[in-house]
Amino acid sequence: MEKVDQPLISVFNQEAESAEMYQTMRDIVSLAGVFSALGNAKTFEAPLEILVFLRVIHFFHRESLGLDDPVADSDTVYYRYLNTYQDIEPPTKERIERYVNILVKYNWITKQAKRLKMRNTGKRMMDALIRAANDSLAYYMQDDIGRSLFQAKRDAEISEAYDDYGISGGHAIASMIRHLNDAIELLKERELELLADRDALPELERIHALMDELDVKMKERLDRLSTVEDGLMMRDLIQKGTDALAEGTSLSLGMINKYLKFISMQSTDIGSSIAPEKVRQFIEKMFHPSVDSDIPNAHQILSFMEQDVYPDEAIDGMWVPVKMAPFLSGQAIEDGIDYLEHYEPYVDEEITVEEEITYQSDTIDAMDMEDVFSEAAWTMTKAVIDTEAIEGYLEKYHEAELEQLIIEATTPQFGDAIRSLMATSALVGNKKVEMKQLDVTKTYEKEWEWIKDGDRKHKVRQRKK
Amino acid sequence: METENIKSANEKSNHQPLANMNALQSYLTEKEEMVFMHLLYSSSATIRAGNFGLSRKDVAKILEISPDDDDGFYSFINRVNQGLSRYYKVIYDKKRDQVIVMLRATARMAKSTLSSEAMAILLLMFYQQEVLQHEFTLLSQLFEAFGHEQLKASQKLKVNIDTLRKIGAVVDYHSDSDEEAYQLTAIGVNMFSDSFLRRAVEFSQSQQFNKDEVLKFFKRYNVQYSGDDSE
Repeated sequence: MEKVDQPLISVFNQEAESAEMYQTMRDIVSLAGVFSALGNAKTFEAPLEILVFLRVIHFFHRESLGLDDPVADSDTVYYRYLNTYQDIEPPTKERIERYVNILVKYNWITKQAKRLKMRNTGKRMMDALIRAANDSLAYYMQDDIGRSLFQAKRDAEISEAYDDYGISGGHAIASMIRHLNDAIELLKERELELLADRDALPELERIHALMDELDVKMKERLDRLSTVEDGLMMRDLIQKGTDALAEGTSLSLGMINKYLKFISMQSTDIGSSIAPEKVRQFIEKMFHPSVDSDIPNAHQILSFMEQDVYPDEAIDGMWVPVKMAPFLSGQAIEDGIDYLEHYEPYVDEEITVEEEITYQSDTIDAMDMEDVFSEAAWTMTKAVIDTEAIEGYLEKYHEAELEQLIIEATTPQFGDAIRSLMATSALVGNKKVEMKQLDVTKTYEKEWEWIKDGDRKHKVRQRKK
Repeated sequence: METENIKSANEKSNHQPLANMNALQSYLTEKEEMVFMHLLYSSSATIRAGNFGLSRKDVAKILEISPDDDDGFYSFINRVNQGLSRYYKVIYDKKRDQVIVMLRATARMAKSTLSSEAMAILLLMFYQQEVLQHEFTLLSQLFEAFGHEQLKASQKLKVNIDTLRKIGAVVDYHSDSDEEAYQLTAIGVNMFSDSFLRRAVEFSQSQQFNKDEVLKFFKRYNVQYSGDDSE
């Protein structure tokens, strides 16, 4: 504890060019050497051969601890093997001898005249090997949810065993959290399946027990971490760890709760009256029950029904409207082809209603003939030339200079000027307005110019009727 | 195994369910058989979008009975249901004038038909409209019951109600007020299996119940098609 501010010993933050590193790496090389001598395609197919090897080094291990008598040569190992393990097909003497030679070659043991003696390197490597094998064994003895939980717990223990003594155990805390999260993911996936299994209770209990153990271990580790000033990275990790723990425990607790409730219900008396209030409350809760409660949601109820405790319950899940993919009839296919071939995009057709032409007879004096005809001519002119703007303007002001009229009635644009002039001349032609030459005063900003300036010196006035 | 288990007629139908399908011929007339096939076909939501099933008039037309012939119509439905009750259920929605076929899904399959939230919503409407005999359920009631604890509750509710609407279990209820409201259809009324209701009740009361008791509670004693005689 006093040395907490010293960095952990780790190969990853040590100067590479140092004697210790050379030694360390040589250890690993000797480990690899032993394995490459052992491992070939054949051992991969028959992994139990490795077991024989592990047993052999185990003898040396025991001997070095003084548990067994000294080993004289490979024959001693061979007979000791036969006495200890009752294999159906025991290894041959030659094979044992080969193993021993490999160990000698890589300096795990030394060959002396009357004795094979384990060396220091050998001891440490053997320790590591046997530990790794036992770890694996414990790991595989769990089912897949258990495995992740087991690994998480193991990480906590490794962190405890190494980090506390100043030796890095790898990123044990991060790895622990990762394993826990994996377990939670898996548990969520398997939840419905587990609830549907009549015999799932022991498994649920085991998971929950593992979760509880992990909870204790991890809390311990995380508490300890939080006393170490190790920057933001750790605080983040601790936060993640506590979150994952809370989720994991409530998830496994919730599953146990639901399962136990389901089981305990089976031993209750048959009820006689249903309390509607309770039904309503239950329905409200089952929309989104909290994870650790004993209220199942609709899918979980269906899972329980899969257990088929009441006869025929499992097939009686739900009634759904029939929804079968209908086959395509020949007619439908023909219709489809026809549609594609004769497809016309939809257009918003203009609706044209033909107007009925109504004729009416009217008797007039010969005197008025001219007026009537000029009126008709004017109506036709109006249909061709838009005179409205000019007429409107003059209606309002009665009198205006030509340029003023053109621009104020419409816009200073050239096109409008042309149209206005045409309209004005039409009006003059039909004697609606009169035009006089006069001096003008006003000038306007416009897009066009008069060719002869004198042309603008006109005034337009509405004719009095 | 087969010979051992054939003891009573009832058990026989349990163990040789598919033989029942073939036996259907023996208690339906040719025309009735045809109607059933029509129903199967037209109940498929993909054929007729939201408007599945046949109207009673259509059924009567194929059966060549008068549209008001209650005996002929119900006798047909009864006989189909007796024969196939383990797989299919023919129901008649009087309000919407629809005859439809519903298919039984096992507990395992049922989990992939509707989300658990949609089922909770449907169950609440079912409770309100069948047990309490309300005519409709307001969106605000649903929101009050389910929405208080969740983020984006309103959106979640809407999405799930939409699913229910799509399979034809609920329809919008048009009332004078401008509150959104929903009403169960005959499909919605018939969706929950008796076993599911029983389990739900048991969980709610933490006690076992007879199926009969549960069915009585949900007013399902003679549901098949007379459920909405209230009008």
